[in-house]
Amino acid sequence: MGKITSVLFGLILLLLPMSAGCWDVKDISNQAFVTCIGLDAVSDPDLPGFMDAAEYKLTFEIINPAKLADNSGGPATIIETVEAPSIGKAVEILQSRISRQITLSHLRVLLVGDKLARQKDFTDPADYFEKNAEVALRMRLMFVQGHEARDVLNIKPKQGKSLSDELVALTQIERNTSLAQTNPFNSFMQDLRTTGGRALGSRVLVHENRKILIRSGSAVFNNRKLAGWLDCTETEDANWITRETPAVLQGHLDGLFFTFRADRVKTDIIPEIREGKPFFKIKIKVEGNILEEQGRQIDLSNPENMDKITNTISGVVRKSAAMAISKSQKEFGIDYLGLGQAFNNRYPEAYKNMDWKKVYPDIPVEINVKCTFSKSGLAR
Amino acid sequence: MSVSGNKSGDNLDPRVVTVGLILGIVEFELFTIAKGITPIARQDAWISVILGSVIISASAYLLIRLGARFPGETPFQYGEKIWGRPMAFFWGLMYLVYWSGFLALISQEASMANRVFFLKSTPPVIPILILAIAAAWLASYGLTSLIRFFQLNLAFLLLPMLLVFVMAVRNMDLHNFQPVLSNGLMPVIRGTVYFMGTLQGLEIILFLVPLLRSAEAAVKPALAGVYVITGLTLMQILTAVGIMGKENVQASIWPEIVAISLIELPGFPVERFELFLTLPWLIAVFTTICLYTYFLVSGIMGILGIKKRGAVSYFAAAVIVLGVYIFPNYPTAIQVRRYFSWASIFFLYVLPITTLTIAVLRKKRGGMNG
Repeated sequence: MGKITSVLFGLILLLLPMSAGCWDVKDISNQAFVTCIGLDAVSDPDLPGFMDAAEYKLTFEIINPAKLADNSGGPATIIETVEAPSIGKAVEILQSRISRQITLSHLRVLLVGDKLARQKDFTDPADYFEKNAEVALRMRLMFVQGHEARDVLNIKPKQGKSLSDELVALTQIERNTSLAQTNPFNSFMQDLRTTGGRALGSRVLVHENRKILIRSGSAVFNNRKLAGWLDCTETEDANWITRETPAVLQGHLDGLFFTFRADRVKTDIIPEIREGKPFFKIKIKVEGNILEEQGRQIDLSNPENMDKITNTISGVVRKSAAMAISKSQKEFGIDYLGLGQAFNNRYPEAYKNMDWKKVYPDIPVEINVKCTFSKSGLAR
Repeated sequence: MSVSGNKSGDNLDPRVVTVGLILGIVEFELFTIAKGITPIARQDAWISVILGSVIISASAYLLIRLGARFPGETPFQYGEKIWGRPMAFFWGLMYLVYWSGFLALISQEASMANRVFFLKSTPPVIPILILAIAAAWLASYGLTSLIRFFQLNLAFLLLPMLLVFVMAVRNMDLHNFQPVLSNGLMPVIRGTVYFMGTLQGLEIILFLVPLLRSAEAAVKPALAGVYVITGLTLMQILTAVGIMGKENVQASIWPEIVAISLIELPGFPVERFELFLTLPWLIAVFTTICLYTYFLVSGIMGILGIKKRGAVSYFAAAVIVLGVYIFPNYPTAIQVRRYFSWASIFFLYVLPITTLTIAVLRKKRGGMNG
């Protein structure tokens, strides 16, 4: 009898807290899924009702479930803009306008406007997202050149139901192109931390009529702030050193204009110390095949012709990589190509004892390119 | 005194030592260990783990030798013979404090992880209360029952972790482990000592040996257990540092979970791979709570001579539940956990090996060996 009483008592004790209901109920129909956030600087930093001036203008793309099943072709999202002193406050203000519980668990894209990226140390706005357990840190991070992030979110998606879908799809496709730089949020933050504030970020362009979205080029960061932009050609140059992505090259050879697709790229950055000073050897291996010939056709089964073409391609790649180095050293004076990190990995003591920012622009770099064909280059 | 659970005469196969070690030692700390080691050994944390595995396996061998000298006897019984009653009682009390503290810490960690990842609004005491009652009930059946339960759960712990590691490999960047040994060997050695201290639960060997059919045959399974645990730890460190880099590891609270959340398989329709870790996490935490509840219950009964197992079991459950409230905040718990890892070196290695040394020097052996 005693045992039965104890068991019953225990059961009642266990069930008691449940009488209050389910604390963590998450009905999908009561959630407001934020899929994209645009971060901008506030032009006029005053917000009535707040002790601190608003510093951030956040534009949220929220899924509108009612329109998901609608086949009329319009976007299934709601765009809301909020100004607040902090990101956490902005989310709270947004909640006062949305009748469903806001969740960032489906946040896929973070867009940052030009002005904010130049003004703010990026680790400040990034901190909210790093601390929020709901946020998947692999979300795409993109910087908008010359415009506000809000301008991007106001563009109507060409395909799909939301702009974030389109942006994510673009970043997935760009794995096969070297015209853009992809650096997800977590990886960008890692770059900032390991280099002391230098990184290459993804760039988004809004066409002048504000209706077309282009993903190409990259954003150069120094001291955790936006320092400048690389266009798509400059990004392609930089990608020989930073990303090892497939690329399409063009070359001229005795009246022949050809296009070559580099399917595989392997880059080795070899730091050395020569006469007490840093020196770099960059070895690039390119493997691919001829996509097209114009002007005249040459016999691609002839080894002599193939040698001429590989030499031409090697020259094109060498020139492109040299342009990237020159841009980074002479124009920006910022080591966004990651040479400093390679040097630190090989010579940590020497790296500690030098002012890399000062040394970097004058470091000699030797570039060697080896090109091979994966296919014959003949049709089929 | 039959605190060992050996009264049934149901001797265990020595191979269960592997299972006992894995399920007993692996707990939530496996998902935070990179955070503890990387500030010390930095990108060379993986070397610390490999070095540690050699020392830990040697220690496991010595613990088996200690248990084998006193067949059928619990550590509390032969402790009195080796140290004498007063000293054995003192060390016993120290172990009780150590086990209680560890139970409180692990319940605090489990509660915090639960609040962050699963049940944000549920009062933390509810899930922990359920865990504590289940652990106390299971532990009251003795170590043999616990080991049988561990055997059932082993695959559910290991398989998801292996799967996640395989998925993580392609996201790792070997540059994150460079430069190797850039700060010399000392940080690596300090990292090794820290890693050794995180293997709370190694003392299960001392409790298991009396229940085994043959203590001699337990050496290989014990080494296998140690190598599986270090293998799992190595996987976690390679994943965290390889994907995130040491700077980001130090900036996050649960780096291994964050690292898994960063895995992306292009074209694969599933995301959020960290959810694969939910099952191993629950199993690892629950089995370790069970084991430490058993240690605490058997310790109180063996050292203080209290016979009421039921009452003692519920006291242990109360310690677990109080653990949720004992620390003012999670950063304090993290700090205490770090000190605890250093203190564990004494309880897991120094004291048992000293006990074996004294037993050898004083030629102390168990009754069955003469």
